[in-house]
Amino acid sequence: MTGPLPATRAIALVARREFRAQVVKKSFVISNVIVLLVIAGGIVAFAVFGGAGEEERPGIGVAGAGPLAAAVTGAGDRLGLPVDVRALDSAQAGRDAVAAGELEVALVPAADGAVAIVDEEVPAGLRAVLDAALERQSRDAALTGLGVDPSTLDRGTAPAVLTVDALDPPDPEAGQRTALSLVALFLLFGQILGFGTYVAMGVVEEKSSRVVELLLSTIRPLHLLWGKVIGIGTVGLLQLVLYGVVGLAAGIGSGVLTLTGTAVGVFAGVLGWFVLGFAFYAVLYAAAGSMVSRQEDVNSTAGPLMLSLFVLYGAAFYYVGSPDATLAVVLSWIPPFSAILMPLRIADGSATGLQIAGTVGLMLAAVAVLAWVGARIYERSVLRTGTTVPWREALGRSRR
Amino acid sequence: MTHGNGALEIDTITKRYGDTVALDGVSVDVRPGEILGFVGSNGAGKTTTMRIALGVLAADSGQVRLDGRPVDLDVRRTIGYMPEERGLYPKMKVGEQLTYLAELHGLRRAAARRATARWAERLGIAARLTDPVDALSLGNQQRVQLAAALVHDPAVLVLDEPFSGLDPVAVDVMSDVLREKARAGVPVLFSSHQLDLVQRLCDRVAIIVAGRMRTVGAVAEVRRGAGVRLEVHAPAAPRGWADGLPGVTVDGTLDGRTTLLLDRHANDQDVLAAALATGPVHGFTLRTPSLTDLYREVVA
Repeated sequence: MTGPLPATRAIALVARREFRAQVVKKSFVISNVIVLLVIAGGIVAFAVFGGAGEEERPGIGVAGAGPLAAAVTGAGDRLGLPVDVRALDSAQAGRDAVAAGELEVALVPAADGAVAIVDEEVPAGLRAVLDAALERQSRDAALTGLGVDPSTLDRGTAPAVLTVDALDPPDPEAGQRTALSLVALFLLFGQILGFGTYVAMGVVEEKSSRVVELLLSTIRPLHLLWGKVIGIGTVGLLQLVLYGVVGLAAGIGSGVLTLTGTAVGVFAGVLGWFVLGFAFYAVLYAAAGSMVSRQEDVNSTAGPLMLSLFVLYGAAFYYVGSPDATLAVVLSWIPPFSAILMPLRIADGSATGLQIAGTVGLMLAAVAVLAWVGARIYERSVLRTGTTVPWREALGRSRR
Repeated sequence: MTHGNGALEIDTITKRYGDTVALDGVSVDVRPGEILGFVGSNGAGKTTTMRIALGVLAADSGQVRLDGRPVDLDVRRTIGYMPEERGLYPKMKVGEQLTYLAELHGLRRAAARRATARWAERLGIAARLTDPVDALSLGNQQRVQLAAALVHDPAVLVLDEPFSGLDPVAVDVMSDVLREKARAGVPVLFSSHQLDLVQRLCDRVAIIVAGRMRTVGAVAEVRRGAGVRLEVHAPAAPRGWADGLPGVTVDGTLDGRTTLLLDRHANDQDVLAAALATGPVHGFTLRTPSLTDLYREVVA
């Protein structure tokens, strides 16, 4: 026999159904496995092939025996452009190697110095190395002729050390911080857009399959709405946790990520702001879904929401480009911009505890107002079938 | 008129859409243990009435009560409802869906599972519990829909066109279930265009025409109230032989067979005597109009 159904149980029942319906979808499971493989594989591949490997040295071939090869190597090291010197059997072998792209330059000693065989021209930096090598070679020859050991001269004229005192030294961690910010940005944007759309589609599915009439004969529209938002939002949050844990584990494990504390902080910030940003948009997406009766019409009412998300996205890129701009700082206080800008400010370390608390408070207030507006639209529209409900009517005073 | 005896009372409900009056003071009550057939043309207001009874739609005025108590959400949860527009989650498994709906009506999980198994067995869909709804034939989807209306052991049944789209076996199962629920003291209200079914199944019938309740009464009573049809086969009778008999109207004559409509004041024995006076009488048949005849008359 039927019994009482408290609001919390009604919402929990709907949320559980939405959660299950989402996670058992084959497409959802497969796409998640793929994304996780890409995250872990990408980070490990970056560690193996990218960051750890040394830059490739330009190859220079030197024909004939003699001190020229040693002079080129030494000049490259002194000028901060280490080169890979190889001995060549003949000038022809040098020509072939340059033509095949195996060498940048083939050097053939000549009476007045050397001939540099290149494909088109001598690469800018290498020209200085080659000139220095030839100069050193002729200087050494002259010194030896005068009875002076060149290495003795080198020791006597060792240059004084230049110490650099930078007023604003580059942050060696800046690269990682920027990378973390961008990852946070992509994740937040993708999750809010993706799961907001799931909410709208779920609402339309209930309308188009007419099951909503059966549901609303036993539970309140608001319980159905919040159950749906909570159920789908929980899937989005767990997915984010999964991505984050796999990404952090792969990054720290492979040595790509060394800022463990910052990364965990950013991760926590992203999770918290996802909850707020999703709540902000999900109710609106539900309202947008309730105004149409067919899946193909969702874009007509959800379009403005997507547009506003792209504006957020643009603002976030603006912030990453110029984090000190007044506009960026002001925007980071304003909902829903705060949802995507604050995680970035947490990532780059520019947000104070006070600002975090303040922006969370503002965002919560905005969510409360929107929840009221969105729920109102949803209640009015969800049982109306046929044509798309105009915004004016959805917000107006007409009764169902 | 408040009963407080377990009846579902729909009391003077009015609903307008702009200038269109969809329902104009519609009243009907369904008593416990009674099956009430709700009959009317498309657009007459059957579905609107039922949706208002379920609170899916709000009335402009009037009230719906169950057992003397205005129907709020807690009361509504005890109603078994089958909407005209069938609705289930197409991708959700039959069993999960029925259990979910039972839980939404206030059953605990274990009880919801037991009720799902019981009704699936009863309605012949037990083998399909793990299939998604959209993998079932339309007829079987209809059975699932009925199970959804019954799975929480409702105290009232409000079914909008429960027989449409059912095969004859399913019609019998559905009829049995409705009778059984009524015997258990549940008020049952259902709408249908299949008037022979209504006549066979219902204790009372309510006919709605253009948003107004035209007739509510026991099926037999309604049929009698509409008068009796008499067919007399008297080949030698001249034209106009029955004119002037009190309470008798001639409906038509064909090949010596005259069809007469008799109202309450008519005496069939006087008609027989008048017919015999014209010569031999080979046939004399009284016919009570079927609900279908009656309905045509009322709606026309």
